[in-house]
Amino acid sequence: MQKNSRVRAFVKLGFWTVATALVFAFAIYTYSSGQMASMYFHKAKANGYAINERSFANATVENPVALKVENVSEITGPQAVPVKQGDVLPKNATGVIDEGVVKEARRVALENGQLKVMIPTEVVSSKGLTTIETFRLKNIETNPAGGVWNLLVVMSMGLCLGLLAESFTDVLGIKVSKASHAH
Amino acid sequence: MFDFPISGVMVNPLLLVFLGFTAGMVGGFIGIGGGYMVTPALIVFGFPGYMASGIDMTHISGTSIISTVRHRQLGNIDWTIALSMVAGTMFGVELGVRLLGYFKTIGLSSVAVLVASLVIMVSLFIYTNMETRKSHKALEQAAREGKDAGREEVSGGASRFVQSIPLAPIVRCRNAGVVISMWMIVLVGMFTGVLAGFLGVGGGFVRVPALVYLVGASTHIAVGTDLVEIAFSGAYGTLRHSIEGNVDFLAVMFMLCGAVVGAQFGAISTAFVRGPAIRYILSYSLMLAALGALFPLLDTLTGQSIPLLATLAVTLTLGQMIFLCTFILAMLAFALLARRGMWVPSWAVPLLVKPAPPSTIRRPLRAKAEERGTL
Repeated sequence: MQKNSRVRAFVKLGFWTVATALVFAFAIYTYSSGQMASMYFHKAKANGYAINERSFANATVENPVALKVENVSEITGPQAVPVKQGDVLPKNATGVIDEGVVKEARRVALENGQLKVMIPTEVVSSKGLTTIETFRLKNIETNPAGGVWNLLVVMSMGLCLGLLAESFTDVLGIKVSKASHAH
Repeated sequence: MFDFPISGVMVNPLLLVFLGFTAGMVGGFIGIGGGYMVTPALIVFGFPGYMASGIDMTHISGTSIISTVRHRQLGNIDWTIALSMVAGTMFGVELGVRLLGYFKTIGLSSVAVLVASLVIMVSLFIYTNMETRKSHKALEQAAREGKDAGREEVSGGASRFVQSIPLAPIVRCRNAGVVISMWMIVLVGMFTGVLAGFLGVGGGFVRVPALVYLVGASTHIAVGTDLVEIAFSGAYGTLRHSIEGNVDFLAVMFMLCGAVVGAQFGAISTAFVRGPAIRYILSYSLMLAALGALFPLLDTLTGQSIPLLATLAVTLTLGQMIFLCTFILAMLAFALLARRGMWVPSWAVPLLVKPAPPSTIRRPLRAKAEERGTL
């Protein structure tokens, strides 16, 4: 009888270990293949230029960074991809520089088919609070399916991890019986 | 350091694992999500504020399921109360969010939220701490008289009044041992939901005392049942935050790795202590969280002109989790020492559960086999 319960405990532990590993492997694959980022940086919320803000992080007014304006499906360097509101963003895009910001020509200017970035980050004060304004996460829309994905995966992880922990203590033979809750 | 491509920050992942471990332990022990402690910590680590909120909510929904599985095994969940409260809580959260929206339109959302947080936490801390001290004294008295006090001791009669309200349908909450109008449970859920929605937190720090003092459930039942609530509200929050672009899932995964271990310590520790021990830790967490809300409020009102306030906020945020985990582990250690007949501080003895008769605790199979000489 005890041998049966011990075998059952090990089978339970093995099952939930495999299940947990599969869920985590699936999540890690989604991250490493870029699908996680694609679900997040999904569509443009405004007309402008899709960029990866790391390509011009060190730009200054004295030394602006020039982004080549071109239509590509993947941003691999200092590039800016023209997008309209609702367009799916190219791979590796992390934000959209609004057309209005480009027209203003204070932080970003369009010159000779290139987008010159002069002020990539700006300190903004409002109602006593100071924030740093960047082009990262600006004017992007996440994929609602990404929300469902997050929910399903996190709940699967929670369930698998919880049952894995329970089976682990079963294998160790540690169990505390249910208690009475009378006042 | 690890690069989080969605948040755009570089953070040591071990910090996230540690944060998940401490949040899991505290949450598993006192039945809260810990958002009011975790969100500021994530901001300190470098995550943007809205991202910290979303990551925290998503991690809470996973961690609460981990803790719920263990609490179910411990018999600490009353499903009647849990499922009755869900609808009320969801409705209340939506009302709270709309109320916050109103304060946002008049430009007072930050001040309103921080002031409301302070008032609620300070009030709850004072009441919970005073009531728990009374219950602690009652347990000490019972011990002196040689009486068996059981697992729970609660002073105050508000729950008796609430249970006496005869609004049909009346439900029998078997595990909690409470007979109460279902509408009272829904109303408690709605009230706590409004606070949660307004403050942008899970609401456990309000719901657990409400379940104990208004519904009349034991602290252990309140802890386990509240974690079921948090799983539901956390799921909804995860979906909303994810759609708004507030969640970096990679950060959540690191936190869950720590939470799975911490939650076991927290949940299993409840089996070794009486209700007042859990309520003490809940009250101290409220006090620390109130201080944690006070410094950012002062920082905002002084236009961030006093650097010391920001430093104190950071120190408190990181220190409070460590303090609470140390307290929980200390109670567990005292319980194990007491069972071996070793010295334990006299103030802790009435807070510990007496060991159950040997037949109800299964010792490791090897030790049993050794005793029988069959190994």
